[in-house]
Amino acid sequence: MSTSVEDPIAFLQGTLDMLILRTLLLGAAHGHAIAHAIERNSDDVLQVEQGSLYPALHRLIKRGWIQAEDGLSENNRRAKYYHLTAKGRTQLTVENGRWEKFAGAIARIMRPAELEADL
Amino acid sequence: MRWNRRMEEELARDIADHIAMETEENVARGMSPAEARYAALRKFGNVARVKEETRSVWVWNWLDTCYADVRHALRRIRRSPGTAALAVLSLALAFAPNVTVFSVMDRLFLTPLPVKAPREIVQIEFQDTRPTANFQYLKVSYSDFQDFRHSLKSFSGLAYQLGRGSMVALNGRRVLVYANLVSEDYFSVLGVPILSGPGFLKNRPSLVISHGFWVREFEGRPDIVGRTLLVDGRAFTIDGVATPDFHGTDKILSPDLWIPVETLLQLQPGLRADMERRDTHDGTVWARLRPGVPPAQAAAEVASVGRELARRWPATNRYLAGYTYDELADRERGGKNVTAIGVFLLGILLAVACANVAGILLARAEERRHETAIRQALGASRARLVREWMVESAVLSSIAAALGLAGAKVLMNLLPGLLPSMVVPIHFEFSFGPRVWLYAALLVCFSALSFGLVPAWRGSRPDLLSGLRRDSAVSILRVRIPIRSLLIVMQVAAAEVLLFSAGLVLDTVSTVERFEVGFDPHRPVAMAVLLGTGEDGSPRPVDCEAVRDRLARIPGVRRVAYSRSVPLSGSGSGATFRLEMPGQEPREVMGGSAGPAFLSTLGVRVLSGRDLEAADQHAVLVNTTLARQLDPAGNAVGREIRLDGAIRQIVGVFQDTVWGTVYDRPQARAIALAPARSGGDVTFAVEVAGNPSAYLAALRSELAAAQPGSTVASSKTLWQHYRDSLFLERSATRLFYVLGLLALLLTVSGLHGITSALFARRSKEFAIRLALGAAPRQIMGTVLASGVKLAAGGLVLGLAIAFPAALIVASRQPGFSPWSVPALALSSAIVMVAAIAAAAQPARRVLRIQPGDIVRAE
Repeated sequence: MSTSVEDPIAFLQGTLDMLILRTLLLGAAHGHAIAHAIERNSDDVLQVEQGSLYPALHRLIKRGWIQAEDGLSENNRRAKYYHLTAKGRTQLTVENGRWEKFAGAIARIMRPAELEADL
Repeated sequence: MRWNRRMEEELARDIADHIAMETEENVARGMSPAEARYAALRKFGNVARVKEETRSVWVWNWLDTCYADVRHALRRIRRSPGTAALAVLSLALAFAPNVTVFSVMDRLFLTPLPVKAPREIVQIEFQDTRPTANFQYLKVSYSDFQDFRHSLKSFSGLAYQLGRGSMVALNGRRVLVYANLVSEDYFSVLGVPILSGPGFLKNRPSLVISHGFWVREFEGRPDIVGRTLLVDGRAFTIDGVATPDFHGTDKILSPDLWIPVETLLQLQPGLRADMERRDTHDGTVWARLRPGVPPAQAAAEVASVGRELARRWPATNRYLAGYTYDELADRERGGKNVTAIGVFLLGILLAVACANVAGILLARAEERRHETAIRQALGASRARLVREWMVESAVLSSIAAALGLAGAKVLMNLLPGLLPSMVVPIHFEFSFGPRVWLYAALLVCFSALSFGLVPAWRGSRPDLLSGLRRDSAVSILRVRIPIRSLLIVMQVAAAEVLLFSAGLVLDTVSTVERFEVGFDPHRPVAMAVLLGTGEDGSPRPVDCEAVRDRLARIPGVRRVAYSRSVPLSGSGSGATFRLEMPGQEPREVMGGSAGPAFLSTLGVRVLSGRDLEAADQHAVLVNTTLARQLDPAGNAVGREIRLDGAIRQIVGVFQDTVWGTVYDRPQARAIALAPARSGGDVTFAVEVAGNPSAYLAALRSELAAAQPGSTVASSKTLWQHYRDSLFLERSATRLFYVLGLLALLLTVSGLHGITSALFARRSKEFAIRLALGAAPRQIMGTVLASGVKLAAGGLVLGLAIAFPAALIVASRQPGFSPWSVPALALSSAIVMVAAIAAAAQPARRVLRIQPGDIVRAE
């Protein structure tokens, strides 16, 4: 994975991956729950098209960052539960660092504009 | 972990669960069940796409879609089998001759001799220093070879090789094979490994057989080594089988046996005197340089040993200078040149075929514009469409390659049948070597790329509006015709290049055929060779007079004659006489021996005096060249000359006759009477009433019955004998014409296609013009003219390429001239007639136009 934003699609995919890993840090969850958690925790700012979650989940399984197992949901429905692996935990810190760098860079660009607007 | 059916099912269930949960939540929020499900689905997005994307996380996507593309391509091919068949056939017609000719060139010119360190190997030869010499370059006698081997220090080894026919007895059958008499260290000097067996042994008569012979005659049995083989009546032990890639060192003749000279001389001491003659220059000498010795130093030593031999044996070697010659490097260079020319010509044919297929595919791209436009509107990327086209091209090309290879295999099996009949049969084992496979693979790639790319690019270009409107006029005018026209012009040009070349070669051959050969090839004469051998295959003299009487009794036979030497028999004309004249240096003249009236039977004119008769033991015939040298006044008949030490009287002068090839210049030649009983091979010629080929079977059976145990070979008419000597020239002409006509066939189908397309494009316009009262003849003329214009353009382009190329060839090839009116006229006429015929069919369709129908259809 590149550290610069050369490939915007890969970067966005990486962002979704990071959000999933962050959500699973709190404990195993099924797909529907992950989608809702991301929406709720972002105060409904991030409206993920829920389907796009699944390719991302499989990408993470393939990389060995999460694992899937069968379980039962809150209302006793059978569902697939995803949980973080040790490798996934490590990856989350990497993604976190990358994101902070990126967000910092955006913030540094945006702040002078705000100042100008204030003037 | 790999993607599998179970994962597919689990994903489907997972997604279904997800949507069910979302639906439940929506219901809990107060929606109706139907509304709730609809909202859940909307929120989830396109289920099929999600599945596809998830799948592509696991599956190597590219390969997967390629597989799909191949299936798709096959489906499209099945949907229009006619066009596909035309394309495949066009390509296969180009592939088959390409692969066949290349495999022959590969075997003859590109396969290096499988010797160790070929750069260390040179040939040693003699050069006759006299300006009047019959032959400037001479091979080496066995005695000279032994002297060279004894004296030379620059070489680590010298190998001797002499080709000859041998009779082998095989379970009651006798087979004539080509054998090489060689020095005992032949294989080790050349560095050629032996597949199985110890190789030549000193303590018993041993020989090595070729791999082809082993497979042909012994089915490749493993217990072959140590078996006894009867060769010319003597028992030898097979002590080795050569490797499959070693076909001897000759370019074309591949020996089946290698026999050590010394072993043969021990078994047949009678041969020694003949073998040790220094004036028979017929052995090939290969020499391997000692490591570190510069070639120039070795050459100097060979020259110096040659001078020493000239001093020691003045009678035979006085004018001979020894020199070395890098035969292998020379062959490699020559082979590459020939192959380059061959591949260029074959490439033209392939290019024509590719242009044809490109035209066909362009037409299909046009037909599918609507489909393509719909797919583009639905989001298919251009790369995706191009790839589909390329895959389709590759599939077509592969099918054509399979067909072409099968065709090549058939052609290669036919090839040996085209070879002229020889006394010793030639075995040619053609096979697809690695270079041939590589060539075939390159053909497929090249052709798929060349004919696939243009239509792919054109066919996939974004053209939504007119494509969806089914508007036929817009893009055709702009896109298709110029490219297809260009292709056609190039095709016609290529066909013209090939046909013009064919005409030039044919012209050269017919010039050669007008060369005076000195005998009359049209005489009704049938001939065959009788090899005098006993029941056990050992040599036995032929009683020529008895055989002659027997043949004379065949009904319809007018005259029978026999001879040891025959005009135009290629290499078998090397015999010489030593001519001694008072007050002159002794010199060699070409020699030969013929039976009574043999030359007259072949139609050789005796200009003064008479032909040989049975009692002429001390007589000799001389040809005009020798007669003029002996007596410029023209009174040679009656003179006595000294030949090989014996006094002979000249009884007749015969016209100069070519003995080796038609290109030979006349050389001084004397013909003595052949002995009535002689060993080896004797040619019998019968002059008959009527068609000589009808007598061949009788000639063969009578010869076989005349001397039981003997072998009859090479039976043919005098005309066939003459034609066989021009085998290479005629093969070249045939090859050019086949390539040219194939190219023309492809071009005609292309031209027909483009004229039809043009007609289709303008049919609306034509209909309107007809409705307004134009004469159909005028419109037919327009269609015809469009085809003919393209052909004429191609013709001019073809000549512009072929003519300068022919000039270059002519500057290197004497006897070849590009200034041939027949070649020019014939090739141009063939091309133009074919072009008009191709355009005429679509043009005639003008007559069938019903203006009302077409205008109404709009």
